[in-house]
Amino acid sequence: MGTVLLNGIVAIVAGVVGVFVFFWALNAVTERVGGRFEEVVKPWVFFGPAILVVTVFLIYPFFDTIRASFFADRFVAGERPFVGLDNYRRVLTDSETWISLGNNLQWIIVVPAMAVIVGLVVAVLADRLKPRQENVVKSLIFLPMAISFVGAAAIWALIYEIQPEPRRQTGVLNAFLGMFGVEPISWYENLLVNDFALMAIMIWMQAGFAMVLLSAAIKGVPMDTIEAARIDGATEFQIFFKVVIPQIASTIVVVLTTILILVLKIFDIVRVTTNGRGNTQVIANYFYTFFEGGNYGRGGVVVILLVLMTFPFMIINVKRFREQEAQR
Amino acid sequence: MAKIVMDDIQKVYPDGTQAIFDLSLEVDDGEFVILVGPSGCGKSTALRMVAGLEEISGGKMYIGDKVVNDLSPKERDIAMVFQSYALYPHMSVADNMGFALKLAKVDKSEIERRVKEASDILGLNEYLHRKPKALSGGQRQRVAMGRAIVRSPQAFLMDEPLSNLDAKLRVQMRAEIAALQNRLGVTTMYVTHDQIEAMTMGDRVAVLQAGRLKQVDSPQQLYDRPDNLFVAGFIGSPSMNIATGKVLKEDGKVYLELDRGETKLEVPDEALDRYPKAADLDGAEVAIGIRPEHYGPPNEVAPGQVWKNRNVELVEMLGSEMLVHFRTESAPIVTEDMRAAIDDDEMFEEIKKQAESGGQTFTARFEPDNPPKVDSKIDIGVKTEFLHLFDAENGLALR
Repeated sequence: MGTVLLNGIVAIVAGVVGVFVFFWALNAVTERVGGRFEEVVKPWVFFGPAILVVTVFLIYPFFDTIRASFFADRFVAGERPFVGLDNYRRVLTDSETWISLGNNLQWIIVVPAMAVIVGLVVAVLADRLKPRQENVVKSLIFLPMAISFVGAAAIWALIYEIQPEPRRQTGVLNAFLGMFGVEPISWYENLLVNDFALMAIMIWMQAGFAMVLLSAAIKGVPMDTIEAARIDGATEFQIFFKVVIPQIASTIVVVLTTILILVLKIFDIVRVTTNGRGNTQVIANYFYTFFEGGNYGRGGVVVILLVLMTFPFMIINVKRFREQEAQR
Repeated sequence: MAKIVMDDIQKVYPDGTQAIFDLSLEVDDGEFVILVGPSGCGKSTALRMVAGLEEISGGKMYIGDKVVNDLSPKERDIAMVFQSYALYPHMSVADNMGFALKLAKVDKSEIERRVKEASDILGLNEYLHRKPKALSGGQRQRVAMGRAIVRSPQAFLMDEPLSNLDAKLRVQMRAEIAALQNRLGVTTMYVTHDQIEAMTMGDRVAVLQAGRLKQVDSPQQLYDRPDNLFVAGFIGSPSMNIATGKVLKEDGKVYLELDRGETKLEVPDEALDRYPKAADLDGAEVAIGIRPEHYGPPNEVAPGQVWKNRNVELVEMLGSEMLVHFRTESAPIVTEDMRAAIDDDEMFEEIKKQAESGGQTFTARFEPDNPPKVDSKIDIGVKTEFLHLFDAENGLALR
């Protein structure tokens, strides 16, 4: 424990200081050379390393994954032979692929929408509090954002815990239900609820993010338009749905798509809770399982599926973001 | 359409500050009343209380015969035009105008008809499908007006509707709104800090200062017969020249002593008829008000009305007229009332500085011929029959 902590601190300090020294040294060198050379080279000195890092750790692996998807998982005579579309056929006929795809779809539909709804409700209610109270409430709701997915899953494990009868239920949820005489439920195994139990963790984490952005957007709605609607005879509900919501629509879309992309890549929560058991498998965990087994071919195919799914949402998001920026 | 009655209205904020004191004001059916005053005088608050956007802390508010104190804006059936126009950015011009009717579940064809009617009046026909973003300031202003018109409400409330427009457009819209109100005959309350709007647009003008109603009257009455120093100083541009002086009675005639005894101006009976109390104040300090246009060449007034040996400090040639700034040794009135009336802290500080020296600069408006030289001494005729006299202590007109 002690050495782990020490290693961590050393890594953080060395990393930060190292990067600083690296850029400082490069900068000093270009400045010493000076003249036109400095002008031309200086921008590259600063974003060159970033481009290099992205290329080495993102672009190269991406193309290597595509390459790997056409080669066999098993070694023949010391190397993986080219198998064409064989991996694709195997993956696409595997029922777990379709379970994963179906689950991802479910996550995409439920989580962003619920996070936005919860975030919106909290943002609206918090807006009516005094500034001091509002800050406290918003900080609390935002707090889960600061926890890692694994940490969040660990916290929720305490909520979802089930003990074999006749032991006392120590999980918060089952203990609570027990007070009303409800039989304990195995939240991770019950096929009706297990997907939603996992999604709840993600919603809990992302509602804070949604709330912060939506709260800022709501505060940006001119008070005059709300008062004008009041005078025009709108009820508070009508004001919210016909005047406020349309004015923050672009923010809602950005929040939705941002969470959606996060959800598409959902991995940690499933990994540390069910690891895909009970039909809770999702794509990211599915291909990770392939990689663990050294099945780079089939794993690559699943990754490509995920990338293809993410792409349209990324485009929508970037486009929306630009529109919003243009409005400012 | 209906009349609006404010009966002893109070506004106290939760932190205890009082924004409106004992405001009583009647706006007749179809009348156009302007609320005017320096910034922070409570005029917008008063309007918002009529609208129902601000709670009424005391007194009774009537629209028509109904007490509306506890009614929501919706139930008051009034339309409001905001300074920012407050158009719904996500709705087209037509939807903006028809929103209130849509909420009231008016027939679609009826909404269309009324929006069309309003857009005909306002010249908005080509813009009905545009979003507010794609309109100019003047067009947005018209849409805001249109939104009020389509509803045929009990009353129009307008909160500085022209202050976001450029000067030229403001003059045009000023005339348009006045004409429109005249044509529609809707009871209208209009808030502004611009006294030219106040003077030109309304049937009557209510002048507010620090939450209190100082005077309500027709624009000309307000200008000619101010009830107090605040109204005297606030209405009119350039402002009325105001200084302290003494009333003296000699040989059955009344004189004003200025420049600490150096100047004596005769006050004719016309002025005393308007300010009868002044005649009883022999030897008392009063506040004297002279409008810039009530000066003239010395040969146009009686010999007792010539103000001699004035030092010229500045001459402004404005084409149609000439403003001559000259020195008097009579002290200005330096009170919070006057600060509010001037509504310009910098200028007030300047006057305060001048007050320390015991005198101040007056402004006279002349025909633009033979401009005097700066730093020369001139004689100025004062048409004292038009002057104004106020109690130096409480600022009330000496009537």
